[in-house]
Amino acid sequence: MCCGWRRDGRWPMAEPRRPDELGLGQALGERFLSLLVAAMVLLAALALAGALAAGALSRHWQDSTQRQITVQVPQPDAKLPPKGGVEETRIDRVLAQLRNTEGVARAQTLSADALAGLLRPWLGEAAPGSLPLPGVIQVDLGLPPPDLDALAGVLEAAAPGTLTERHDLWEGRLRALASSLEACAWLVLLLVLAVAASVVMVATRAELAARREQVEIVHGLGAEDGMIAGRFAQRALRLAGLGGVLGTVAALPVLAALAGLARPFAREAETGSLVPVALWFLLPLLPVLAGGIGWLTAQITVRRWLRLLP
Amino acid sequence: MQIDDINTRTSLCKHYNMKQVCVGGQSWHTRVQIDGRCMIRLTDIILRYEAGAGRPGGVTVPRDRRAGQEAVTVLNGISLEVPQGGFRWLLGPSGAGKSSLLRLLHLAVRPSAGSLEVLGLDITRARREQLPRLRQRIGMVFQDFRLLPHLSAYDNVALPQRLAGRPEAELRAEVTELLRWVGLSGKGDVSPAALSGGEQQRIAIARAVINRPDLLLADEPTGNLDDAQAQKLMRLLTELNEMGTTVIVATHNEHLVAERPAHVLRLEEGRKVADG
Repeated sequence: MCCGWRRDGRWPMAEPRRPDELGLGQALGERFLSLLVAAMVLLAALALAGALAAGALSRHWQDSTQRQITVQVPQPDAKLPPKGGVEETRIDRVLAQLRNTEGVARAQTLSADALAGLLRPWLGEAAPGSLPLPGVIQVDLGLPPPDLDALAGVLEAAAPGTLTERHDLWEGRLRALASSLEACAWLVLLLVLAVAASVVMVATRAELAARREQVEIVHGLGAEDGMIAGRFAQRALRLAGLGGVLGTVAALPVLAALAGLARPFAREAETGSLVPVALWFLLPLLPVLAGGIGWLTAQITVRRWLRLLP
Repeated sequence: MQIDDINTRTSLCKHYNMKQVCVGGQSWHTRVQIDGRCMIRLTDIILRYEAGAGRPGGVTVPRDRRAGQEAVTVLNGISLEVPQGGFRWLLGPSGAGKSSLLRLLHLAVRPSAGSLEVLGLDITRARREQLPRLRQRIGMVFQDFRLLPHLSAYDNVALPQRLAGRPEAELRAEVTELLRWVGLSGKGDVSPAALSGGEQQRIAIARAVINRPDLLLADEPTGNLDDAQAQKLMRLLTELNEMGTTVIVATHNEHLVAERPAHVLRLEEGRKVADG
């Protein structure tokens, strides 16, 4: 679309062009609106990533805590009375019991080094061998999982004093934390979208005020509301869509940097990456969403304004 | 009959798709059958501007009046009828309500009270969605032209047809013909800002008639023209009227009225004081 007069004050008549009745192509502040929308979309991308990551983390924690229990066996190396002619230690008997239990996928004793590593933050480099430590068995449950209450009873009977630690309490706390984070992120996303719509509305109203005479002339010549609103909406679609593309592109390095920072946690959580795969499919939709919000907001704003004309 | 008059009428005939060859103005075909139907009917019309309403499209009320927050009555108890094909001079001093009456007839404002019928539609009861189509049948020439400065002269003239959904391919010949009619052929690609006041007024005239309006309103159309241009403009308005368009012209210029005797509506302080 042509958007200005040539120096000689003449239109380039030979060029095919679409008339811009309202002069919106000459409007100031186009860059301003696109940059504001770009900033909103950048924030929306971060909020979306946060929401998806928190959701994924919540599900991961829920799954892993439901699939694991820890069994502590005091005096693990103490001998138990022979059973069936075989003499075994307390921890061996508990381990054997676990491995013979249906619904237990894997039961593995934590090595002395692994145990020392877990205690190091509290004990420092003090030799853990000087403390009477229980044997710790990490148990992965299969599907369907066994009845944990019954299993605890069986283990207690196998080696008195054995403690079966379920992760229900932590599971609840972690899920609540992750769900709160996820809800906050979705709320931020909604707020960002609402602010983006407000920005488009304010810009459209400013444009209406600046083009009031043109709008009144065109309206007086018989233009329908849909035509006038359509012109503003097309412009808002273009500017907001452009802002959406800019914001999405700007979000990519930020998300990559955040993913890099979160990589150690992701490795620990065995998720591979804290940036969910779904985000890479949803990100391209943000410019479309921004354009759609711009188009709809401009339509509503202009049509409401025009209702004040006879 | 002068040559340019013949040319003008020939151009107009082409624009209005007259079937008979028009020479010397002797055998005009009217575009519409004039059957004396009432084109405009106002009954006890009151138009009051609410001060400080800040509504788009409303008349800007002077600041000192807004401060008092008082409504301003600009038309008070106006009743009149204009038949199809009629010509009316609208006279009166400044502030008498002439422009407000034209705005009312151009559907730029709705009456505060009374009954208004334009082109057979009761405006006081009409749905808002009905008005754009009706506006396309009304041509309006403003004193200040009200051309769109970012469009070329050609696009300003073509605008009503584009708004009416006319295909672009059919526009060029007609717009070019009208530009020639108003004596501006070759200036279609020029910005209004590069044209003189008289030329801008002629662009505004061409824009007002391109939709072949049933009703043509003109608010001080000669206010920015010299005598020769004013005479020419009045000839154009007269010719349009002779082809069946109902014409109402608001003016201060008593010479024009004397040269083209017609029915006179005279307003003073928002009231009709003469009709005949």
